[in-house]
Amino acid sequence: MLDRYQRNSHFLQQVNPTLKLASLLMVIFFMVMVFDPLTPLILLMITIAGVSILGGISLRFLLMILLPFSVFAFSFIWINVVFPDERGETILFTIGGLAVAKENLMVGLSLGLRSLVFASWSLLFVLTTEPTKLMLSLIQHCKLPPRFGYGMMAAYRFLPLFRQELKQVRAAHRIRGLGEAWGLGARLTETKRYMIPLMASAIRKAERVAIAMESKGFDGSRDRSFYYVVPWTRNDAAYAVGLGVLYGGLVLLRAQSGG
Amino acid sequence: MPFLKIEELSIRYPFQSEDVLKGISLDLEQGERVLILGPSGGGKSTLALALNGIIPRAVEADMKGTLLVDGSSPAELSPSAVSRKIGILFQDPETQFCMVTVEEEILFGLENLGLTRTEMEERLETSLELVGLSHVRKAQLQELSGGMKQKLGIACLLAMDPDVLILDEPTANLDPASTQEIFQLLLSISGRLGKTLIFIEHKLDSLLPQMERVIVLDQLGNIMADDGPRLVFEQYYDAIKENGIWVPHLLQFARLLEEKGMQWSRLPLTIEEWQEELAMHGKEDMQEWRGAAAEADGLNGGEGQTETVAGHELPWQVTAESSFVSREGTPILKIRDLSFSYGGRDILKSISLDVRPGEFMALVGPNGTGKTTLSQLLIGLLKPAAGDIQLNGVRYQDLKQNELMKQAGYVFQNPEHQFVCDSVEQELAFGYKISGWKPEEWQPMVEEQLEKFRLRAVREHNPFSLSQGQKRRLSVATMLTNDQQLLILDEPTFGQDQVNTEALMNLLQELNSMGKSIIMITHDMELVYQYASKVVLLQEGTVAYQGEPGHFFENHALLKNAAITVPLSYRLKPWLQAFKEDKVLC
Repeated sequence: MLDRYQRNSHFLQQVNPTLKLASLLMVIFFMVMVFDPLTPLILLMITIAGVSILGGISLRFLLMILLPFSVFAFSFIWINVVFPDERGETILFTIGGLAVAKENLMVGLSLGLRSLVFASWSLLFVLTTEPTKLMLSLIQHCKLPPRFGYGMMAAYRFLPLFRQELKQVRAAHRIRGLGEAWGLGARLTETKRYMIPLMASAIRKAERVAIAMESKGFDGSRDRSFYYVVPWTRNDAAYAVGLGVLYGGLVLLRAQSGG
Repeated sequence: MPFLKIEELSIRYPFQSEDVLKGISLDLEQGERVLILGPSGGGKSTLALALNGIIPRAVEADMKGTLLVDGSSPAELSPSAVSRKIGILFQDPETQFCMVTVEEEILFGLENLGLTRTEMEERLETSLELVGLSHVRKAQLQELSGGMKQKLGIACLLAMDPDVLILDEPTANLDPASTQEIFQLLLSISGRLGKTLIFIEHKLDSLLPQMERVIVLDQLGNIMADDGPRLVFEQYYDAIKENGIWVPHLLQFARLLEEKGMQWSRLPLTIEEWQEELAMHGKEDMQEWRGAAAEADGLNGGEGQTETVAGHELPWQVTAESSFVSREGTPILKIRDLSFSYGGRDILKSISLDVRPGEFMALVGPNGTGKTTLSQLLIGLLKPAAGDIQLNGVRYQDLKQNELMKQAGYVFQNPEHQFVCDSVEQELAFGYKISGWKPEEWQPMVEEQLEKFRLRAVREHNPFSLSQGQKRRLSVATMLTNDQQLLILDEPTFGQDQVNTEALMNLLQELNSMGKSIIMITHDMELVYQYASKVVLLQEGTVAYQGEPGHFFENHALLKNAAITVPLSYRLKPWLQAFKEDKVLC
């Protein structure tokens, strides 16, 4: 599923990963200065629409992933309403004797929506970026040492293997007569039990991969050529201009509304 | 000046008191095909890693003596310079790649060499062409089978165009059909491109006749023999066996006949040579055997290829039928109309089987036909979509998981997955403890297990620190703490070396003779023929055959369809029987 999205040929997938990563950081920086709920709300809606249309990602799938984040976002609202630093003066209504002030609600909404904005931008990045392309782009444009770049790729390849192995270990332990753990303490011992065989195999695998990589002439230095150079294209220019317009518009909007 | 020059080379790993390699000297010319034999842990892989400089560059070790590749020491060259001269194909297809797709993986090596884009494109296409993977150029590695992954490994090496290819047990994790394919690919390519081949292998039957030179390392890290394959085995047969090194099946049989009075003028390395030799000696008497051999050849499309089956030592029981005792009585396990599907795909379709007490059942069939699925249904890890399984007359639906576990054991492919404790002793006691036994009750049982599975010496050790063979024995032992009558094993000999395979099979045979029923999934037809009393062939989710191994190997059409090769011991049976009856003497 994930790699099908990452590899499709929509606009966002064509944008240079380095630029996408930079834009993610910019959003975080921009949002730090915003305290009203309206700006993050607008930004969130635009982002969701953008990821869905420009990234070819089904809206349903996107909202499903955002669902757990919204629980997190709601907790911001709840905390601000119930335990505010300073209770606001405009009481809107009361829940079971608890006064809900407009000011606190607004701050909560703003923070909650802000976390959703971060989540949606992270999804924009994760869902439309192939790991290999990201790694190449970071090596080629951000001076990431190849040693780390290719090391990370090797590790990434192991993730599905580990999931498979965890499944096997689980089954094997069940056969030894160990059921699924209930409660925190049992969960902890269970984790420890699963970790040991997984770690043992991870260390062995890592060593073998390192030897195999070196035997193919890899020395971790920048002294190598690239078959595929992650290019800077018109797409990147369009993406940058789009971002500029988006931020400009939001700033203007905030100035207009006197926020 | 030879291409590879090794003089007085000694290597010792840190914290070890003995050298792995003890002052070996060796010259290799370009284009040679060499096989290196030696006991496991005997320095073969160490030599391979030293040849491309990984020892001592990346793997720490104390190295003395001279090692020159094409006139220069690999330890002093950069990794990319060495990789132009020497390439290694490793054993495990999962752990020699670092990229996501096929083409990226090949390009990784080419980029390390710093080639231009045009050059890379050209080499990429040629190498994919050579191994026959052009159609999966853009595919992800995880979609490939084990055999295809090893082919990709070969393509990666060929693309980098080294002078020497070192093949470090490249087929240890492959099934017999893929093994044969990889061997053939390597031999034909190296012939065409004139590469030097250094094989480190233990599946020898089909490989040995193709080798020009065999170098044997002994347990102490010395070179014991270095000569043509026939000469080495003529002169050093006993010494090779004493060092725990695997000997091809055919040579074991040849040796057997020799003991019975046969005098080989030329030790046979292939079944054709075997036939010729015996025909020369046996005159008229040989007629009928030749007929039998021709029939056996017919099984392999008449090409007379030698066996692909991975080996273990034969316990010299020539006729499997005689050891087959059809056991009557009520089945311990009754499977009726069992079906299972996963992700909309029918994996098992209406399977019906009986397992009788004391039966040794081999479950065979191509990869992906539901062997593991069936075994996991039998141990309750999966629930059937339809049908019924009964253990001693009790249906699985009415059986609690822990009740089932008390009657049946299941051994996983990787023994480590089953370990849950910090010491061997605790591991064995674990089953009793969770059943609520008191220490004074389980102590004697554990002692008995330690003795029976030869684990007494390592009782305090952590299970993860054991040797491969000990781990395997412990994993079987933990499954029998409750005196389970049914033992299911999922490819227990896969990736295990010769000595361990043999030890495990002897253990299973012993358990079997004590009346335990055994179900073993395997690809190794030699094991099937030697040990099993019943074969069940699964094909496309249905039972294509169930019955005696003897009859199984006569069913040519069936075997061909399932891509199964007849074990060598079965093909040689007519001769061996004849010798047993003293029909022939020269």
